[in-house]
Amino acid sequence: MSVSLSLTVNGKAERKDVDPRTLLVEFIRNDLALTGTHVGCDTGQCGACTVLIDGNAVKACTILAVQAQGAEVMTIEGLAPDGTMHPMQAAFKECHGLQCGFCTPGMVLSAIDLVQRHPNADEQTIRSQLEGNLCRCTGYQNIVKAVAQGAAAMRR
Amino acid sequence: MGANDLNTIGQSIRRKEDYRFLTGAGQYTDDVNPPHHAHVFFLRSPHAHAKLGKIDTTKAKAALALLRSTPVRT
Repeated sequence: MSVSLSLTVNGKAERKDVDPRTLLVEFIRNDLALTGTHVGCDTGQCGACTVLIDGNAVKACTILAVQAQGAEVMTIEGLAPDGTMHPMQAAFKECHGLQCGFCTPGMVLSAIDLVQRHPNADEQTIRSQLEGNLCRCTGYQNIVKAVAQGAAAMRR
Repeated sequence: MGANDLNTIGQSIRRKEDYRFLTGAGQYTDDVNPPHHAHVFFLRSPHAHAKLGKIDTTKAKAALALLRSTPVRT
């Protein structure tokens, strides 16, 4: 059994037949070959699979692909369409907010979501809002610095 | 090594790999999908201590393109 799924991913309309039990992250990685969205834990804890759905950060391993029917999905690949990094990406680079890079796509997209909800987020807010994203390199200090700098750049 | 080469000591050096990690272009093991590669599955014994008799792979062969099954004692 398969279901016809139509959605927009990174501004591009996609239409595919999917097994209804397919997770959104599996659809993104396997059907669309967008491997920037990572599977870290597959249990909704680590946030490496975070994408934006209609502008909101969602862990793509916690929802089915069919639940994104008709939605606008943004993955990390869609954030710098012309090669110029989003201010949050630039801040992560500037502040050394990444080491192995595995958690980075989820961190960046969660950070953008949190800045949209808390434009003037202080350090405590950034830390608590990012609790759903785990960094296996434990590079949290610089991640928090990067998000603060990225937030300032997004306000400009 | 000249004196100028020491200017980088104590400086934070921008990493070359960050751009690709930040734009989703990193390549981790699960991101590569070479042709004709095989997958391995570990089927663990439900018994804590038992003698391994034989393994019936008929169903596995029917369901998958089973290349090989090897009993491993740990």
